[in-house]
Amino acid sequence: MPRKPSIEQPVEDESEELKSRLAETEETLRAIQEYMVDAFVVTRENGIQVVTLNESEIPYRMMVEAMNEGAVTLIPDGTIFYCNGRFGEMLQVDCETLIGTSFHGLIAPDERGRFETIFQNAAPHGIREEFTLQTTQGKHVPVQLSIYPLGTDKMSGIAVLATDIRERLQSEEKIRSLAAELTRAEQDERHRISQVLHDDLQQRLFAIKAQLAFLKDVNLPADTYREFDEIQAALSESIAISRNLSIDLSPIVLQGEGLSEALTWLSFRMKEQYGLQVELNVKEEPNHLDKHMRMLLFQSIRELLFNVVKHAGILQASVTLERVDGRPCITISDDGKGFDAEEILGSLQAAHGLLIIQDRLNLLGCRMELVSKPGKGTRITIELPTKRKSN
Amino acid sequence: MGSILLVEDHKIMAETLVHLLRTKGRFHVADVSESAEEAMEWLSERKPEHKVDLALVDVVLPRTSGIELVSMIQQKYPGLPCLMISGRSAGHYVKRSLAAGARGYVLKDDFHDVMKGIRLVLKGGTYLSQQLNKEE
Repeated sequence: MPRKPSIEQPVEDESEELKSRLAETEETLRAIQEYMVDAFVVTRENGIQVVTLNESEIPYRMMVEAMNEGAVTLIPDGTIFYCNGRFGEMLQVDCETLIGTSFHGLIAPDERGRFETIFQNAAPHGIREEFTLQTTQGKHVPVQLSIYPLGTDKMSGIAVLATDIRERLQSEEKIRSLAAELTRAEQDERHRISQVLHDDLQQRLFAIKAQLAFLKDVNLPADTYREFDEIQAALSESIAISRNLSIDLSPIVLQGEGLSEALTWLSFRMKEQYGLQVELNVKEEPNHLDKHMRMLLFQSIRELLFNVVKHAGILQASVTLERVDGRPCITISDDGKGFDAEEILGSLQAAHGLLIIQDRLNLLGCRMELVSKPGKGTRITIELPTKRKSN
Repeated sequence: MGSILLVEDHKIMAETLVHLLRTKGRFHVADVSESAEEAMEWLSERKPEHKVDLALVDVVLPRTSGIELVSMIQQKYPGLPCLMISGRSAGHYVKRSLAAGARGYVLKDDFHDVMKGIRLVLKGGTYLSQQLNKEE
């Protein structure tokens, strides 16, 4: 009797196959649970599709949450779509409170116009600018914002990275303070030497000259008279040199309040000493200049005008005080023979004086820009720092 | 011979001036004050026999300037003429001195001119040193 085919064999086979598929599924699930899979490919009615797993964002989200910069994504109208905890910390607000609000509203009111322009024109490679964020408690947080457009087929928006620059600004402030101290010490020393020249040396020279004048009244041979005259002339010259040096080292006019007042005096002085005609245009007097800044600017402008006398081949220059793009600026220009700015500034020896002026100005937060070409004159702009908001 | 109150804070210059005023100018130097405050104190406390015909005042003095001293003297002692003496020739010092009531301005580096100025002011006139720079 033939053996009836066994029904147990297919069941066993099927069971083995199911076990194998279960093991494979369990392995896949484990991989997904352990974030080893970001996406997988499935075949659906409308073709092959890539399905991403929401959890695949977790490592990136963890990284964004752990970073020291504030990270914000905005939808195109500037509404906050997401922000990390660090950004909330900067503004001392929960992230949930910030999401859905306008990012523009976090910028200090007087900087919103500038932010708006940058926000609208955020180039593909991004833009970096410094702004001040304003907390709901009215505190100001200076930040550097890096603004990048987020453009994919499915979404568009803006990514903003905010770096807290308070520590950097504090360090800069400390450097400025030390630079101001250096300027003060230098000015004190100039004043001391000026006083010695005026109070001691000049008075001695005056006294000698006065006594000598009366010796001349005595009946002396003609040759001796001529020698007296020569000595008198030499003394007069020594007095003039000492007087000019004393005045230049510590001009009394610098003890006044305004820079333009000191520059008016300097214009007279440059004309008197070197024949340089300085046209002074005061469109706007820079406000809030402390004594050290005023002295440093005065000395820098004097050096730059002296450079015109030495190198420009022309005895005319202009000094303009104005506000450009909201920042106080001083421009010193001449229509003289000019020079190859790149070549000169690249040579430590040739640009020594200019580089010293530039370094000193930089230390006090100013920025100096030089434009010059052979035959095209020279234009030097000193941009003064604006007052930063403080808490 | 006139009697002069000299207000000069530089010791060397003061000594030279006193010596030359006495020996060459034959003036009487009533007092040498080193500051405006000291000069005003001497003027107010002087004895009747301490006659003063002219105050020869240095423009730059410590604390209160020579120009301010001239104003104070003119208010309190309007009959006492003041002649400024200075190493500074800048026009604005001259203008401010004359506005304060000084009768003249002489430079320290020409002592003959100083003597000339003193004599003219003592006679009731005014005098400005010819070397003065009137540009500023």
